[in-house]
Amino acid sequence: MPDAGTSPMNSRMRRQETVFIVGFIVINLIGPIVLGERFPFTISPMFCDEPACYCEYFVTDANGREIDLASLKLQRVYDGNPVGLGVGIQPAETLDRFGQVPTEQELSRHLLEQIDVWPDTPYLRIEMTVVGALDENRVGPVERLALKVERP
Amino acid sequence: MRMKRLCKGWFDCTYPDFGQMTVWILISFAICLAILGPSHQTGLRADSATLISFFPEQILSSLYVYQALRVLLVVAAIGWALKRGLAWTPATTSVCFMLIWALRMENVANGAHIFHVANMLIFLHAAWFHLYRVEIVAACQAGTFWQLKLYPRWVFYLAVFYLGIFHAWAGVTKISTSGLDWGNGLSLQLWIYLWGWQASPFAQLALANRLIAQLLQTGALVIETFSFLCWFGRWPRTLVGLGLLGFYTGVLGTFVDYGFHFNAILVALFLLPFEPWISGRAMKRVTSSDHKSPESVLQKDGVAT
Repeated sequence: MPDAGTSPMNSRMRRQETVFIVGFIVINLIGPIVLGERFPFTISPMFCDEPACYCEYFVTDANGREIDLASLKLQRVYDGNPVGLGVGIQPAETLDRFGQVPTEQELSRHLLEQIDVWPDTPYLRIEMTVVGALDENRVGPVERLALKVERP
Repeated sequence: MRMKRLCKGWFDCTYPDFGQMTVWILISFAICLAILGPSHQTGLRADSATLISFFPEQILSSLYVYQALRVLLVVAAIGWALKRGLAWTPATTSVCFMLIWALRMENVANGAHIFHVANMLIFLHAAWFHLYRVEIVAACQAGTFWQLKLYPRWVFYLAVFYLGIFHAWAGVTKISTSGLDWGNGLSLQLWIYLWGWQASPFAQLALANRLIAQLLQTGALVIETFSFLCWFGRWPRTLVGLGLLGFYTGVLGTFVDYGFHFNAILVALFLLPFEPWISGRAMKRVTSSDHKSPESVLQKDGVAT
């Protein structure tokens, strides 16, 4: 291709290309800094946290039937991305915080607040398993907590 | 003067083989996005998630708009692939791709980063076709598309630039959020324990020994953070490319359904030495034939000047 600038068409095209190149670089350098995680810009935040543990929940009613965790606001909304960042729908409310363990009191209080969602059961049984460092090499269940929360 | 020298190579053109192959790959990604069904979740609107968050709610949550864009994307992408309607098909493909993914992000509660790179590279290649459309159309009409130097180097350099910055951000965000201790191995083990494919050799290795997990995690952090080095020539580009591909192999071999395949393919395409190889082959192919410039075709066809 002959050197640009030899014809008016080429020089106009070179100008357009230069504007595009500079714009593309500047926008992609500044966009994520100014706007953060806002598509099409991204700060690539997946797995940027450093959790040391997480909790698994298993809840049953008085008849031993398993209860959907979302109905009790115990579901996991974390998927490796910072919760709620760069998405248009707010994540559902939940007690679960990846990397944190609720206390027995917090868990009981939470279930007492939610138990009315299941009016037919006099109580709920919950098993919370904390997964974390088993030893210097492996991870696995490190703590189990079983609770029975009765309807007041 | 120095700036001019620095940028000179950016405006040189090569044969379009690599660029056209990239366009076809990107178009196949666009078709994949179009095939992907809508994922409209219900819930309260969050703060601004995309650049189109200011659109009215009726548009953001409309399934009709989403479906119409999918259809338009397929039509425009096929047109672009066949080099038909180049005045509008590349731009429409890019806009539809961007809007579809933006609408998807506007209607979900969990984000994903599987199409960000493809989106920006489609935008970039659409700009190339848009700016060179007169020459490309003329060359296609004259049957000399493959014999002309129509692929400007800036398209390749900007793609490398974006791949570098996209991955460097991942490293920077990890360090700014969790510090240099991010690669402690424990968090990686937990993610693998929870979501990983347990039969994967990477998963077994990382779960069996924290030091190995630590090395893998720290290695990923180093590769990501320094991936901007791919801007500085062929060898750094190849080394970063190999590092990132190793990283993607580990990620996709462990978290098999994470959908980073598109990113991995584009990293391989741009950071490994495919471009010089393909352009070299194109050069050999054309040396025996007449070297025609786009201008000569235009003049012959009376299109410009």
